[in-house]
Amino acid sequence: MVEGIGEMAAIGAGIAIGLTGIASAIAEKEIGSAAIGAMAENEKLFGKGLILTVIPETIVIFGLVVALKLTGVF
Amino acid sequence: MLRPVEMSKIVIAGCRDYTRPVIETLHDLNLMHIEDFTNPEDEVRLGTPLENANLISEKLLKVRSIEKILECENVPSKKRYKVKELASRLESEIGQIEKRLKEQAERRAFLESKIKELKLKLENIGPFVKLGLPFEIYEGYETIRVYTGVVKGDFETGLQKITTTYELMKQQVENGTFIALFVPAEKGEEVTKILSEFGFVETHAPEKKGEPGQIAEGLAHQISEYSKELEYIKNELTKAKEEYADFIVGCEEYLSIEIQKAEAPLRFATTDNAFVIEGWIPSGEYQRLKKTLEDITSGRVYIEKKRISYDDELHNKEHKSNNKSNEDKSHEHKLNEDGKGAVHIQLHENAKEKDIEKGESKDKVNVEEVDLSISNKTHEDSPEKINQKINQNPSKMISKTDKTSVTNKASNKKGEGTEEPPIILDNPKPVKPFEAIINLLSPPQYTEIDPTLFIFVTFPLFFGIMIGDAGYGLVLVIIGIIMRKTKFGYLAPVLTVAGIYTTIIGIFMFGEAFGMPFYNTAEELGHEELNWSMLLGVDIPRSITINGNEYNVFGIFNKMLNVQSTLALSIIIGIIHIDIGLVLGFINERKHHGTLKAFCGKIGWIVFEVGFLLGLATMFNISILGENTCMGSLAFILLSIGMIGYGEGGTAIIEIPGLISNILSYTRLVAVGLSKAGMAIAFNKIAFEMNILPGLENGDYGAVGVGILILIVGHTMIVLLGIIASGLHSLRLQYVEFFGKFYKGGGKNFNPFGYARKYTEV
Repeated sequence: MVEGIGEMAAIGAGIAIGLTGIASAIAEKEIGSAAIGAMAENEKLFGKGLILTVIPETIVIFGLVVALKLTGVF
Repeated sequence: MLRPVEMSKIVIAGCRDYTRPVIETLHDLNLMHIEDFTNPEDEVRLGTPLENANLISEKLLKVRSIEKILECENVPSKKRYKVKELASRLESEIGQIEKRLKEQAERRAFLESKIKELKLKLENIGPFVKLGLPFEIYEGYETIRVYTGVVKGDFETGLQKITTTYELMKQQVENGTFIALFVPAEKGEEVTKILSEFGFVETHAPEKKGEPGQIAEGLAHQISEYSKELEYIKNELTKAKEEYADFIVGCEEYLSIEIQKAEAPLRFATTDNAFVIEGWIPSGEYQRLKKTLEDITSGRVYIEKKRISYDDELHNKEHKSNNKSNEDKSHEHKLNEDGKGAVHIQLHENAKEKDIEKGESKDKVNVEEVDLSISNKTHEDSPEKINQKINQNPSKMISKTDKTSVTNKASNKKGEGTEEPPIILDNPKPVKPFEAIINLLSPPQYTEIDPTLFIFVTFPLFFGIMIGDAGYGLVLVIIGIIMRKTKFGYLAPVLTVAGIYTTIIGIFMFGEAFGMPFYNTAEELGHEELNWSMLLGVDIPRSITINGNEYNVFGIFNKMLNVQSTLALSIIIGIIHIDIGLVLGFINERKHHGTLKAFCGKIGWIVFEVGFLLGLATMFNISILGENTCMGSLAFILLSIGMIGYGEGGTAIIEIPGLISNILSYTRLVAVGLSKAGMAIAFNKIAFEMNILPGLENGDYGAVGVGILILIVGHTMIVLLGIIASGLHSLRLQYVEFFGKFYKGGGKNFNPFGYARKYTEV
C-alpha cells in the first residue's frame, strides 16, 4: 500500500510490530488469567480487570509508532 | 444529568411501639436506603427482630424446602396472589402439602440411591457372570491364593516363570482383561508383583455364595421394580408441581417480604424505649416519606434530614458551610463541627403538639422536622442550655438519655464527616441503558461527575467507526431489536444505538455495506474490484456536486485505501476525547485540591498536547508559528511539565509517554475496522468471484448455492466477532483512556428497603 519504501524498512516495520505484539501478548496473558481468576470470585471486577489487562498494550503501540515511521506514514 | 440524584441523609426516631408501622410504611414506599447500625454502646443496642420473625422464618423454611422438592425455584409464575389470600391459605394448607411432598421426596431420594447402589452391584457382578463360576469357588482356601480383577496386557509369560501350577480364567472387558487366577499361596508375593506391573486392579467377589447369573437376574428385577415406583413418584411430584408451583412461588415472595420486614430492626439502633433508623433518601422524595410516616403514626415519629450537596467534603474533617442547601432556615439546628458533640435541637413550638404532649405519657415522641446545618459559626446555644430546655419539657422527649445518646449515635457513625451517600444515576431515558457500562466498572462517587452522557455519545461512535459498514449496522439494529425480550434485554438499546451509528458511518464515512463499497472503485484502483454498483448494475454515485465542487458524500474515505487519512482522523478523535476527560478531571479535582492545583494538574496535559503537536508540525515542516514553531513547541512542553509537576507532583511527569500512548491507542479505531473489512473482502471474493458469478454464467446453480452459503457463514462470523471486538475495544477506550483522566468510581449503589413484588399484591 505504501509504495516506494525499501525492503529492509518493510521487514523492519514487520519485526517492530511482531515482536512488540508478542511482548504485549505475553504480559497480557499473565494479567488476563489473574484477572479472570479474580472475576470468578467477584464478577464486579470485570471493569478493573479489563483496565489492568490492557496496560501492556502500550508496548505494541510504541511498536506501531516505529513501524509507521519506518514505512513513511510519518 | 451529569450528577447522581441528590441524596439526603435522614434519621427517623420513634417510640418502639411504632416500630412495626414505620417498617411497614418504609417497606411499602421502597424509598429509603437503610444504613446498618454497627457500633452498639451502653444503652444503644442493635434492635431485635419483630416477635413474629421466628414463625415467619419457620414457614419460609418449609416453603423453600417445598420449592426445592418441586424444583420451582426459578420458574416464573404468571399468577398474582392477594396477600390476604396467601396468608390464610398458608396457614391451612402448607403443613399438609409439606407432609405429603416430604414423604414423597424422601421416598424418591431413597429409591434413587437404592437404584444407584443396585446398579453398581450389578456392574461389579457382570464379569463374574461371564466367567460363570459360582461365588463359593473364590473363597475359603488355605493353600491357594485367588486373584480377581482387571489386568492390562499379557502377563502370562511372566507368570509362567514363577509357577506352572496355576488356574487362569479370562474374559475381555472394556478396560482390559478380567481374570480369575488361582495360584499356590506361597507364590502369592511374586504373583502380586507381576500383576501390579500390568496394572492389576482387584475386584473382590461381591457375594459369598450363589450362582452369579441368578444373582444378577435378581438384581435386575429389583432395579426394574424400584424404577417403576420411582417413575410413579416422579409423576406424582410433577402433578403436584403443576398444582402448587404458582402458589408456592407466591408464598415464597410473600414470606420473603415478611421476613425482610421482621428482621429490619436488626439494622436499627434501639434503646429501651426508642428506635432510630438511619439512611438515605433522594432529596426530592423526602416530603412524601415524611408525610406518609406522620400520617401512619399520627405524627409520633421524629425525622431529621440533611441534604448532601455535591460540593460537600465527604469523609473529610474540613466541614464547609452548607447554607445554600438548607431549605428552611427557621428551624435552626447545629451539628458540632467535630461531629462528636451532641446534636442541638431547638424545639419547634407547636400549639397542637403541645396539646398532645400534655396528655401523653413519657413514651410518646414529638414530631419535628429538623434541618441540620454544619457550620463553622459559634453555637448559639451551649449544650448545657439545650439540656436545660429538654429538661423543662420532659414530656416532649422519649427520655433525655434516649434522645441525646440515640441521635448522637446516629449522626456520629464514622466519627467525623459525612459518609458517602449511595448513588442513583440520573439520566434521561435514551441515555439510561448506557449506565450499564458505568456499573460494569463501578458507580461514580457522589461528588464525581456521572460520565454516562459522554459514553452515550462516544461509545457507539467508536463502535460505529470500528465496524463502519452500513450492512453490518443494519444487522446490529435488527439483533438489538430482537434481543429486547431476552435476558440481555438491558443491553439491547446499547446495541441498537451502536447499530444506528454504524449504519450512518457506514453510508457516509466509508460508503460500504458488507465489505463492498457502493461506488465503482475501478477508477481509483486501476482495476475492477467488487462493489455494489458493479453487482447491481446501477451506478451509485460517490460524490455530489455543489456549486461546481465535487464532494464525496457516500464514502468520504475508502477504508482500504485512505488509511493515512483515517489514522490521522482517529488520532484527532483521540485527542478530543482525552481532552474532554481532562476537563472533567479538572472539574472533579477542583473540589479536592483547589482550582489552581486542579487546573495545573489536568489542563497541563492539554498544554503538553499542544506542544507535542507543534513539535510534530516542525517534523513535517508545517510552519504554524513561522520560524518559531520549534521554539513554541519547546516552550509549551516546558510549561506543561512545570504545570503537571505542580499540579500532580513530580512522579506524574514520567506519565508523559503514557499520554502519547493513550492518544495513539485510538488508532485501533482504524485497525479493528481494517481487520473486519479485510475478512469481509476475502469472503466476498471467494463467494462472488469464485462461485456465484461464474455459477450464474455457466448455469451451475450448485456453485451459486455454495457461494451464498459462504456469504452467510462468513458475514455471520464477522458480525459476531465485530460485536465482541468492537465492543471490547470501544469499552477499553472509555475505561482506560477516557476514565483514566478523571474517574475514580467506587460509589455504592442505592438499595432501598423494600421489594419489587412480582407474584403478590397487597
